[in-house]
Amino acid sequence: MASVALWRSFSSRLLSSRLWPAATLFTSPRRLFDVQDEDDFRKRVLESSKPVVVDFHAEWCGPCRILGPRLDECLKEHQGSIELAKVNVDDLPDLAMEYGATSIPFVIGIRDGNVVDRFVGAQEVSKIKDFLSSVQK
Amino acid sequence: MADLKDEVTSLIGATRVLIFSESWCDRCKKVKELFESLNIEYKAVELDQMENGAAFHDAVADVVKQRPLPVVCVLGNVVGGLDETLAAHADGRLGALLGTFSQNGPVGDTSVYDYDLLVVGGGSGGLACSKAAAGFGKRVAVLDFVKPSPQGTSWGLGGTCVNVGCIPKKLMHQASLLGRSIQDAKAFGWQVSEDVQHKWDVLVEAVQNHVKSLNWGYRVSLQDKDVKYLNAFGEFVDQHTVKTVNRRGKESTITFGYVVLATGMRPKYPEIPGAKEFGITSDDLFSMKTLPGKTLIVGASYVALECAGFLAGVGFDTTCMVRSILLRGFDQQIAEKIGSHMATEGVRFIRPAVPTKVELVEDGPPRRLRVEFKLLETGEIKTEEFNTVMFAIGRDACTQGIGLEQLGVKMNPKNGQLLSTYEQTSVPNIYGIGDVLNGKPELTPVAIQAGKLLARRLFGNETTMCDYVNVPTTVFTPLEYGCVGLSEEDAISLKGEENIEVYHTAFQPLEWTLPHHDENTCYMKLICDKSDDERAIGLHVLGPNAGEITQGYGVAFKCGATKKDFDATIGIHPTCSESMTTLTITKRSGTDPSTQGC
Repeated sequence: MASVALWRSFSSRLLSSRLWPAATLFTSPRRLFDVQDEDDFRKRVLESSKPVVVDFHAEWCGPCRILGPRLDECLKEHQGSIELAKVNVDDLPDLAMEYGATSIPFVIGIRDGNVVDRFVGAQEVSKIKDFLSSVQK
Repeated sequence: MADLKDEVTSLIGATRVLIFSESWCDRCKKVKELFESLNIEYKAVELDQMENGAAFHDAVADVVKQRPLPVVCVLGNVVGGLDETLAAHADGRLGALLGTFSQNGPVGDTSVYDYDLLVVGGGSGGLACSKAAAGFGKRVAVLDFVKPSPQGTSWGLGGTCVNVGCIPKKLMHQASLLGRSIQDAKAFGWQVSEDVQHKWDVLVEAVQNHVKSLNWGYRVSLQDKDVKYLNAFGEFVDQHTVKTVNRRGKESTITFGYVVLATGMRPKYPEIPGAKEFGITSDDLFSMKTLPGKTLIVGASYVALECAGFLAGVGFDTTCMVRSILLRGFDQQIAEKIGSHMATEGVRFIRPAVPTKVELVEDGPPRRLRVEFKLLETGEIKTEEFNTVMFAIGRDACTQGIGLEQLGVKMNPKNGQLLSTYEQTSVPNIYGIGDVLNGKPELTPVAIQAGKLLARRLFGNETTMCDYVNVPTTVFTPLEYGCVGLSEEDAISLKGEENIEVYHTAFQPLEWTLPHHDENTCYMKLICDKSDDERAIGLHVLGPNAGEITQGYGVAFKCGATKKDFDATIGIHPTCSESMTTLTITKRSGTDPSTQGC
């Protein structure tokens, strides 16, 4: 019991400390990455062995800022079996338009190099969970 | 007589644009003015100044079958008199005759080039033109590249209007109006706390986010319409070739059949020490991350006054330094009223004066600049400290140093704007639209309309010309000013004072009553031509929502509305605009147009 209490106080201090971002490297598998270029997209998304959710976003997009954390939270339930790739449409506009990301936030699910599902806008958690289930299959 | 007829016939056949005229004749003068405004060279044969003038006139009448002067002939075709020429101009036949369209135009088969059309400049005009041309199945490319301002500011696709003009300006103007509304709200029962603050960085971030979403929207729309977008700077190698350089310095070459220059303008800096190093312009203001603080705006253009207006409105100590008059080119009575209103709203004016030096006192933040200036009435030199100095003294066309001079494209030496006839420059396959053109209203909707119509003429077999006359516009100073048609000064010089009737009134918006704002600040006037059935030739409104008020009257002007039409229209109540339908007091009568008090 004492060890649980110790763990709780340790983890809450960890969460509120500046070491937290580094700490996540040890506490949960890294599943989120920013796509650098088209080559990177091909290697880490299209050729990925795991399904990948691609979040097309931009700094100036308010709804993107709302969706981001929501998507991240919902992904936790899949415990690293689905990866999350972020594409900044200002940095990679051709890639974004190639996949139909004209209105953002625009989210697609890719499995074995194919788009299996998508949604547009800062959707509710239930919709996101359904989306993730269909991507996981 | 037969000899004279031969002479007339050969003269008509040999001259591009020929006008048989009499030097004192008013209608002849008007037709010459038309060609001058279109930058078309003409030859005028002044029959009254010829020894055998009367006989020559007989010969002309015999050949062209028309006696009254002027008689206009274009490329061997008899167009007719003043009315016929104006009509031919309006419906495009004049342009067609002069060979400004592709069917009898300068470029044959464009399929040999990389693109049928290259548009240089991705602003209001460039985007509209390129999308319209692509709509006809043409291969179109847009080159858009923003050279950073001296302060290092740059922006995305969309041009001046979207990034550093109309859009951010109107949003910041709205921010300032809302501040006033919050105060007025108290009179309407709202329990507003005394301590309402404005945060500049919140406004700038919100405005920039919107601007960036528009940049993205334009990229998507170009892709949608199949227009190739290149974020690269173009320089002309020859009439059909452009060398492009992108941000990373990579060079490329593009060939094209037609090119439309839509490169717009950039703010001027004065030639005084420190201006470029320490001063900013409208290019920098709308994305300014630091607080403007105590600001000096140099200039009296609508850019200067609009910016001074909203900066003061959101709480900055704002000063406007003016060299002579306000809003050159606009109605001066209204311009002075705008200045007075701004002064009562807290903008300080230093006039007439010009800055002579800008020095850095301290980098900060907050930055401290010392401005030295000369008061023009006394010659006295003074200095004062400001946090920000912004220059809004005029704009130069982006036509220099890109190879146009070598191709023989003629420009206005004052500011580089292109000389054109129906948007065609002196080089047949090179066209221009928007602010880059000389002598046209520098407005987004004008550029868009010109761009669309040009694309239709070049590729769509249409002949409609852009009508640059009676374009409505609005200045978004704290008290807005909407106008269409002539200023009072221009109306008087064009028609003569005895032919003008100016109907006017002051008015108080109903919304201003409860907060007790002044009853005689807002004002409107309608200028009518007595020699033409009291046709409305100038409309001016100074008051809230002037832009929304004026748009509809633009349609009335297109329909040639007269004072009778205005009077026959029943007003909408209670609005400000309805007073335009019940104007009775004339300036000539001398009656005071002020409204009565409570």
